[in-house]
Amino acid sequence: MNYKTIQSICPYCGCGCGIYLEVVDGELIGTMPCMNHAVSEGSLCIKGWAAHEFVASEDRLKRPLWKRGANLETTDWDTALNYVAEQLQVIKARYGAEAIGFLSSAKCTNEENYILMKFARAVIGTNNIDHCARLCHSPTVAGLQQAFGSGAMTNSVPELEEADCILITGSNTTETHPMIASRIMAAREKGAFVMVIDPRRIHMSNHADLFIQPRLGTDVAWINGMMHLIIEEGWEDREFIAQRTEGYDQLKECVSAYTPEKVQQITGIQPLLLRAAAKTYASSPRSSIVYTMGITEHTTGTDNVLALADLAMLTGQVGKRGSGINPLRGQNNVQGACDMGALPEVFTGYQRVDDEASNLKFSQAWKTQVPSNPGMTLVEMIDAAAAGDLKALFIMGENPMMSDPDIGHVREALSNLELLVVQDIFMNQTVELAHVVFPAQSYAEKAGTITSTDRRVQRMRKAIEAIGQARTDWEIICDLARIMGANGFEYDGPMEIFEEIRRVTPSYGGITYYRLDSEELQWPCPTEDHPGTVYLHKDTFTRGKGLFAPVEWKPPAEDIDDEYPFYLTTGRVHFHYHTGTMTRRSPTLNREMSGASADINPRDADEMGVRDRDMLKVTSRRGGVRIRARVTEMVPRGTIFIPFNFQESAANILTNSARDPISKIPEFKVCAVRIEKAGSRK
Amino acid sequence: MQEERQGDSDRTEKARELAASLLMTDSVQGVLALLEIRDHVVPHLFTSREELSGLTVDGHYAIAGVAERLLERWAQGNIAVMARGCDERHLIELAKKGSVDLSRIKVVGVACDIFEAKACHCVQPFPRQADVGNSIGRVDFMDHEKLNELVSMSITERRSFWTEIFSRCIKCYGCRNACPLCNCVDCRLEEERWVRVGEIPPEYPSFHLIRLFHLADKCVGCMACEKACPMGIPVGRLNLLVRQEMLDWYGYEAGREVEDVSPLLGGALIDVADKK
Repeated sequence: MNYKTIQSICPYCGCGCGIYLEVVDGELIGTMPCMNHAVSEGSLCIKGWAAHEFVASEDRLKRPLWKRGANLETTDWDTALNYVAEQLQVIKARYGAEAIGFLSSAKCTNEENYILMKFARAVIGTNNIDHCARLCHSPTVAGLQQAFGSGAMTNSVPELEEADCILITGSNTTETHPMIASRIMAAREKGAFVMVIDPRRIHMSNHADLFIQPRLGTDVAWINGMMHLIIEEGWEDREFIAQRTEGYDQLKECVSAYTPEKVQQITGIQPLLLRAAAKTYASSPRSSIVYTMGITEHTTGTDNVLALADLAMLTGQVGKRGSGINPLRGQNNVQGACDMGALPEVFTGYQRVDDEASNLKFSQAWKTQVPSNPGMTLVEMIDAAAAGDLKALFIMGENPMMSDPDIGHVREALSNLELLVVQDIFMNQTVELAHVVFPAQSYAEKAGTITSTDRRVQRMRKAIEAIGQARTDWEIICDLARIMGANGFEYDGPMEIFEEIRRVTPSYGGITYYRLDSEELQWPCPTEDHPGTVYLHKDTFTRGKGLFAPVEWKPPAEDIDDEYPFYLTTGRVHFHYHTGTMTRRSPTLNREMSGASADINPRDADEMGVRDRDMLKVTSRRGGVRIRARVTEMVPRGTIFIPFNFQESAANILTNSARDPISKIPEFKVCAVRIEKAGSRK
Repeated sequence: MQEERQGDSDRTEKARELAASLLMTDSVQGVLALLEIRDHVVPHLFTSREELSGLTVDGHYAIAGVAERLLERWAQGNIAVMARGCDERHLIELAKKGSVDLSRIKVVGVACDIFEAKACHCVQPFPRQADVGNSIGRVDFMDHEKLNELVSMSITERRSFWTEIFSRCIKCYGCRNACPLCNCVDCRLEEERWVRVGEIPPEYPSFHLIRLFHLADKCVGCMACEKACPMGIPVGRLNLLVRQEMLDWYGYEAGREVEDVSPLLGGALIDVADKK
């Protein structure tokens, strides 16, 4: 008789909620909320409560697979590892290291991301490493880095309760970050003014003091408009501007053109509402901005982030308790994957590969010369594969065949590779195309750390033994490195890897496994006697002075026309997570929502004779999907919303891969489509 | 306050002693109680005396549901449960449903102090027999300010209050999942015919009122549901109000004795007609 509960962290979103995994006689039977967890305080969302359900699913990959003819067949670990090691060496010798690319994973631990990053740079010798942060917050990293010197959430989740005004934009918080929505509700109960600025009438807009519905892709215009009013009315924080920022004059000149009338023309926002938003945000003692993909997933993603940073600096609403800019990170460890340098231009802690001192430091630490030219981003690697320049792609726990824009193009690219290696826990659309598949362990079977959205480093703990022959991602990569003759991959466990991470990463320098057992630690935490940092930029910005960056509004890459008269916007839903590999194997979640639907406004539906749950055919310039209609006021007229969680009607067949020039993020949030009724409900 | 905390360490000592003596005999294979690990408190099955230095009574998890699941998995063997008043009442209600066999459970009763009782709006912060701690006796329902607020609203105020507050719901099912008694195999809340699936907020009032009425004669007032709610909906207090109604109308309280029959299941209705 053995019953125990293992403390861990929810494997879904970036909130980083505390869970207990219930284990009876070695079997995972349930999830319980952790009562005194700093973020979740004894609550969980429906996904958190179901976090154990997919772990022992029948569909788990249990043995290594390799492609024989057209089929994936089982093989043993030695054969699979030796084959991959040999192929990587052959491809490197024939085409050079730049012909090999790596996709790391925001679902894996910090230790595993570090190991893959080290493998790519030290063993293969390429900076071609990236991960799905490219598709979510790369504009945040680029934009906030430029403005403040640090691309992370400035405040903490619990601190949101202390804000007096919360501006939520491009974040469907209750559905995608439920435990952060919980804090916003609590803040409002304490008297905070909550405003939602979003093209969709999301759940939170019904609980807001002010709801503004701009047109899709007009964010820079309304943000500039708010700044125009703030300066005109003298609501700006002159002392803050004078002492802590630079570049104010250029900003002032830029926003002077964004009169309420012009803004209304672009965004559809009534001047009265814009004024109310500007006044409350600027004049509240502590205002916080909360945003996610609605801001970033645009060809102007970096501009949108820069404009928000300008707004915060203009009003001195950053660098205070309960006040700042809070990009909510999507995956449980997307912050950590970025921190670990699973990005083409930086090592851990955002130390640039082309910075001489940083490059020397890592070359010395790893006892080999590492490349100093920034590598390819995720989207560039896909393009390079399609063009035949990238020959091998090593994917750890990602599913680009669902998560990337224009899936048809992705399929063509991946099929063109000489070697596609995928490590995953389930068969998915990407695994199907692989030459070799390594079965990996889920979060419940392994240990390590993750870094949740508010820079909070937390330990995940092993609850059960491995399923089948699955191994941890870090062990697989270390084995490959050893077979390829590399040194520096002999670790006896994640703790030893973490010790190496903190030696080379100043912001993690003071964090230890021992401290994490009893302390809440948020980076930067440079030394072992440092308490960690609850909010950033207190007396000075990371880069010194905050830099204003005036930006002009630009329309989305694709506009509607006679042939494609509807806007399509995409996102995810409360009951499922990303590409659905985990949630759709969880009975609780599948019962709640077993398939996709497209949200369409009642008046549009009426005009087309479409009733709720009728079948639609949605077509863009890139492809078409069949999907059920959900008639709802949540979307405005002329716009439909499709979640990207469902493979049978994958939103990303339709989306546009046009990119933000700086961060390379594709424009998932706006494209043009045509809608036809394809059948009545059954 | 100082004195109470002193009392708390006494309670823990006593609880560890009792658990140790139970594990010495072969009467139980394990003691289900709370374990203090790092800065957290978790439910745990203590099977050896060496583990008992981590046993604590400070903290609250509705652990009767764990006991039920463990006994269901293990066809044989007995366990002891370190139970507060509410945990014991849960076990009695589970026994009424036939979900647990009380002859396989040795209850070690833990009495709550006044602070714990206040935190839970509890009127009955004690088990039938207090083996650990001293019972403070019944607390008057109306002493709980937060309950008073809810009943003193006018009908119109109530309607708008509950409509707004239920519309915050994100359908996490935490209220149901945290409750040891809200455990039907086929849950009505998941059925399309009662509550449209895949929508947040779930339909009002069906989602919340189905739960409320299903628990009307079962709720023992542990407040686990309310503590689990991320949106600050006072679901536990709402259940307490119904529990009080059951007492006022029928003289019935869930969790008292296994032999008690719920008035909603039969004869007692006649008594009420007489009473009114």
